[in-house]
Amino acid sequence: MILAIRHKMTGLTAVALGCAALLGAPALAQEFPDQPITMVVPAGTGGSNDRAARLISGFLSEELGQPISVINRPGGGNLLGHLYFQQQPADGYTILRTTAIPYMTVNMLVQGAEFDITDFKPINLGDIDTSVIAVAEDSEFATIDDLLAEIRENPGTVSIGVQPTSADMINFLIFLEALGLSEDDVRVVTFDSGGPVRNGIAGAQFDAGVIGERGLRPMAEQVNTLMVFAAEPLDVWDAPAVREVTEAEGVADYPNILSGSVRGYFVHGNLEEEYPERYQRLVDAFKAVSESEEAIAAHNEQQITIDWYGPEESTEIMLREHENLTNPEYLNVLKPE
Amino acid sequence: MIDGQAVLGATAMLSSDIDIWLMIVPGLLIGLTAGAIAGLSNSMAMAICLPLTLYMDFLPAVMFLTAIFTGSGFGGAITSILMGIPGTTSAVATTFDGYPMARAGRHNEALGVALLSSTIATLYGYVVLFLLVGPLGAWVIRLAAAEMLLVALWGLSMIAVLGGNNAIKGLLAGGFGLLLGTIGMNTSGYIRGTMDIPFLLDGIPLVPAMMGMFAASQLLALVGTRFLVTEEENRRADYRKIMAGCMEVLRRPVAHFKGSMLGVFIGAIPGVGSSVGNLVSYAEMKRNDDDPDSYGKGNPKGVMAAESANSSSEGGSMVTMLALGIPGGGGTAMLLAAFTMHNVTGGPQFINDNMDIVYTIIFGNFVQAALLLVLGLGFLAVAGNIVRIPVTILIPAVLVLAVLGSFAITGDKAGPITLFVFAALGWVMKRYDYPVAATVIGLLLGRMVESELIRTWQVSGGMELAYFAERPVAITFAVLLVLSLMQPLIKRRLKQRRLSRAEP
Repeated sequence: MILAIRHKMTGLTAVALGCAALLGAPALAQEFPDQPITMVVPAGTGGSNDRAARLISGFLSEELGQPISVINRPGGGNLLGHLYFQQQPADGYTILRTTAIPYMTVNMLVQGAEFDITDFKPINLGDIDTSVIAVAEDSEFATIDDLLAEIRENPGTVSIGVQPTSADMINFLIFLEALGLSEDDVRVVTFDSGGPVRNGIAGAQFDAGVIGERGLRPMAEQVNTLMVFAAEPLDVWDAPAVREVTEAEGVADYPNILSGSVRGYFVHGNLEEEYPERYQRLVDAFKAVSESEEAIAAHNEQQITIDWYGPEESTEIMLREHENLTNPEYLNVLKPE
Repeated sequence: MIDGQAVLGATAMLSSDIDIWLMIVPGLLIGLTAGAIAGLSNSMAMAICLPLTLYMDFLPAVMFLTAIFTGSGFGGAITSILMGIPGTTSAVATTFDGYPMARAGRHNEALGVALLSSTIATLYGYVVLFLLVGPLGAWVIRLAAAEMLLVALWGLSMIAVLGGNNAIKGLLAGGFGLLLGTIGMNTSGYIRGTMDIPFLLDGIPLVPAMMGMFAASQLLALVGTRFLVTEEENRRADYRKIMAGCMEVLRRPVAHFKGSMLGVFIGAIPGVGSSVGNLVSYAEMKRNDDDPDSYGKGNPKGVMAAESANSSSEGGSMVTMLALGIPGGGGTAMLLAAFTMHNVTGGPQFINDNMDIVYTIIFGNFVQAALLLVLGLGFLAVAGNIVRIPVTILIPAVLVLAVLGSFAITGDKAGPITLFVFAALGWVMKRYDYPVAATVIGLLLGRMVESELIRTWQVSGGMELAYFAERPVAITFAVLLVLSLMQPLIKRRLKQRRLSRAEP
């Protein structure tokens, strides 16, 4: 019922907009949004996407002059929430906060979801994670060299906790391969989500874990990061970058570093075409919030990243990392035979 | 391990702010009501109330949410006892003896047992939290896949207990449940049995399935009766009988204590929690008893075992949340969300710097437990009236609530569909005399058993013994599990020996 009314309204507004454009009165274009906006989170309450969505919605609703309600649609590796979002009308009144990479890729290629990644248009992917190798604070492995030495000395005994359908897993396998090792030289222990991997690292439930570094930050006292999968070392962790490690091992050129999880805000893929003014209005609002000092301070306090890349660069990042994951060489890692 | 300075600080904090106290009663009432409505879980009630806490200070907010937690712990027992339908996964074992007691007109007594068991167990849970928050948190997080697997198997051993006269049917039903539990995408990424239905990727929605099976088997059995309780004079709420139920608990302090401790420690393990705790506690109580055959027919000790474990697990689940900033289950995830809303992060730093706040939360919960007893008594006077409603009105009303509840859980038609499919399944099983509860337990634990088994296999390099030799806790758990399973055998042997000695 509500949806029907909304459709009727949007029809009327479209006509009004058309007239306004003819008369050269652009002011009317600013009338979007004239009703509350829904932000879909395809995961449960309290997780990183949920916290980010709830935090930004306060600032965003001030910017847009309409309340924003966050709803959770968890399940199936974000698939159920993504499907739900695609079922909503592409009128700019439903936006999405999600972990695009690796989940959209996995939804499409492993779980057989019928959407395409271009059905989601990123407004800003301001939260790009980095894979790291980490151990418990009191682990016997103090450096990455200790860990590698043990893997070489006793192949097939060191256990590694990881999410099997993740960029972390692929990064780790590329790393092993570059060093002339393989998956069979370690014991891969698989988990459904990041939380248990982080707990397992802190509790030394396995020898080392490969996971995104953002979620580890609040646990900095309980864990020790051995290596980061980035071109350069990060400020937050006292650990070498992967290329430093492989160069020291005599590997001339390291093939590829994948970003960790890529998170951010999305609208429907055809919104820009159907309602260019609404699309622009949303982009402007997100940009204003991402650059407001108050919002940045609030995000920093909760250790949530809010860098502004904008739709173009975000789309590039998303497609690049999606391409990386769909590389047939890596895809069979994600896809159990 | 107790920080005297912080204790003083906590008492000062509690006595300075009246808001902390004002939040407890509404919180408990919301929790009691939510728990008593099938399908409304504690975490859902807390999620609904979470936005309200934005307008409160930090401590009143936490007190409000933990009061909902405490209230719903007991509220769940009410539907389990009066209708035989557990509203939450943590009240499954309560139905086994609670509902037969109600049908026999002993519902007042059963509710009394449940109320006092819950109250004292909540208290125990927080006492353990008070004494051991730091060390227990550090210990629990070290429990890896092998230990978790053993705990899950311990819960699963409940299936053998349920079979009753027909052990084979019990095992078949349990095995069937385990198979159902493996539907969905497993931990290493394989997708099985989803029939291309998207919502099954996450497995069968547990609570709608559970409600469907129990509702079908219990409510359909009522067809042809006019009231839940046959004798009219038994239908009144009778405080003397409720008190008699309370006395049952006081007469068995050791058994109650044991159930509570199982609840705390199992509840403290992240991802296991109270849904396993109540099963383990019930199974242990039955195996330990001199007359195990009296269980499942209305033995108040069964109600006590289940309710003590699911209520004490609240304190247990707070351990990892406070000590490590890790939520153990839905309820604590909500609390943690409230923490972040007030810019408080749980974890070692938090308990090092803010032990007084931790103690304030704990002391506040002591008071909650006491208030639960008072409010619970009042609540029972109202809820007990359910037995006075004619079955012709009760059954449709319960079914409507169950459908709404299942919709609330999944947020779409997946919940009601699951409810109906499993209601049909429950009816068929009941018709051919298979224990529905065994399938439910298999379904509840199937996913956990499989995931932990896979991880144990992976981490031990294909079950190499060298790995287990380095895990003394796993060995201890395994020995305890075997001993506990052998207990009825040992007991019987001892009895025979005693008899044979007495005869000549």
